[in-house]
Amino acid sequence: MVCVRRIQGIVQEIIRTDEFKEDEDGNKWYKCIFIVKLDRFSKRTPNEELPARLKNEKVRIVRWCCFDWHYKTGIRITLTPNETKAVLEGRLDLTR
Amino acid sequence: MRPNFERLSAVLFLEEPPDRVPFYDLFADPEVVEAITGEHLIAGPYLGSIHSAKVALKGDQKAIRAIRHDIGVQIKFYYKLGYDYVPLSIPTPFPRTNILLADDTALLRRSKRAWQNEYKGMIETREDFENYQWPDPMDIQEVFLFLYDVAVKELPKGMMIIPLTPGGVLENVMWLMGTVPFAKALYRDPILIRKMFEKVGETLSFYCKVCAECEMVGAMTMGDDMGFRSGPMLSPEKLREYVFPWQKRCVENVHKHGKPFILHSCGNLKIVMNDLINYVGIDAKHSFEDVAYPVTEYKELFGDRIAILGGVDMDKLSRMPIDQFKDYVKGIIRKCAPGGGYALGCGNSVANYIKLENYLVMLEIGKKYGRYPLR
Repeated sequence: MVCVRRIQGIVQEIIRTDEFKEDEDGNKWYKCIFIVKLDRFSKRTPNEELPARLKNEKVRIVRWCCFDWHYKTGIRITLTPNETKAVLEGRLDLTR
Repeated sequence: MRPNFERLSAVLFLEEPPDRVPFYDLFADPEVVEAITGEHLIAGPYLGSIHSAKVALKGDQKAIRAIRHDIGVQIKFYYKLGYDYVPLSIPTPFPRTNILLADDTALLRRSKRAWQNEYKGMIETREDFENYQWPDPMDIQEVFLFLYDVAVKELPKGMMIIPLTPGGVLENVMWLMGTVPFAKALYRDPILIRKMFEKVGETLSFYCKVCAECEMVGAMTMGDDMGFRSGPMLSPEKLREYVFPWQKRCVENVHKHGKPFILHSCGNLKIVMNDLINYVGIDAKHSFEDVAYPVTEYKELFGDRIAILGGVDMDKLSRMPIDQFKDYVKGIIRKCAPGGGYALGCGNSVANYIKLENYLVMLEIGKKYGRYPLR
């Protein structure tokens, strides 16, 4: 079983841009900037602690949203393994 | 979308799945499997108990062909509908005759429906306990590994296996003893009760160990109904004394291999959820009922600590008009899917009394409306 650690945080704010793409059903997926307050690694690596310098740090990541429930704030979000790697290397703005 | 066990794996580790909400169901009744696949299941007569399965596997070619056929049909069912795993279970190691048969009134009815005889047990006394033919763990291992090998050979890429225990710790004890004799013995003969839980607990924890060691097993499920609408069937103290320590041992045997443990348990268990999460160590809870322990409430209360699976109410699956039902399923996704840690599925199982139309539309909504923000 692949075990790649993933950082999680809580979505603080979602900024919707005008950029969008359409899927095969004609749904529009808008490019959004998620501002996420980091708090832990996911349960996949239960014994791993988030470095203190990153705790409560805010990162900006891109997600493409379509349905009403995608725009909820205050919920947990999981960074991808690549996003996790970038954050651990000190990058906090992953929108560029 | 192709099968991808990572969807469900992510949910069990409390992450967002990579694309859409995965599906999780405890099992599907044979009548539903037949209706969806258009094929008949034929191995039932050989799988009455571990003992009969072992005898059949010792060279009865007809039985072996039937079992291979049925596993193939099961895999076809789960693959076709968009699940990322196939459940795999063994025949009961604790056969019993204290069951009652009645006519089945389900939409996809079977000849007879079996019910537990609450007043009569196979084991009511210590003498019954000594005379009962308890299973040999090696037989359990042999039968499971045979079924597992057959399943692995047929398993489509991306899918994994989730074995299901043949009943749970409390369930098997109560089934073998009968509810009323069990309740009496709890106070009159605690030694018998302790011995019963030891026998059943040792057997199930051994089975969990055997399953978790297998490479293509992605998680383990125990079905152990412990409650009814307003609370558990036993007091929390009795559950802590007799049931939870054995469930904990089962969980530990699965966690040793880095795999998650799913508990299916009917009943309102709010009063013991902290025990199940902190002491037993479950990773996910399955089985919900809107009128008493709705999935949305459990997600809100416990969703940051364990995964919440299923919860589409059985009554609504059975009776709600389709247009209303669509909105209802969307409502569950809207409340439970944000942030991950949730898989869509029936509140109990894909039972033969639910409306197939509703069940299939639930899965379709999951595939479309259950898609996560793109990364």
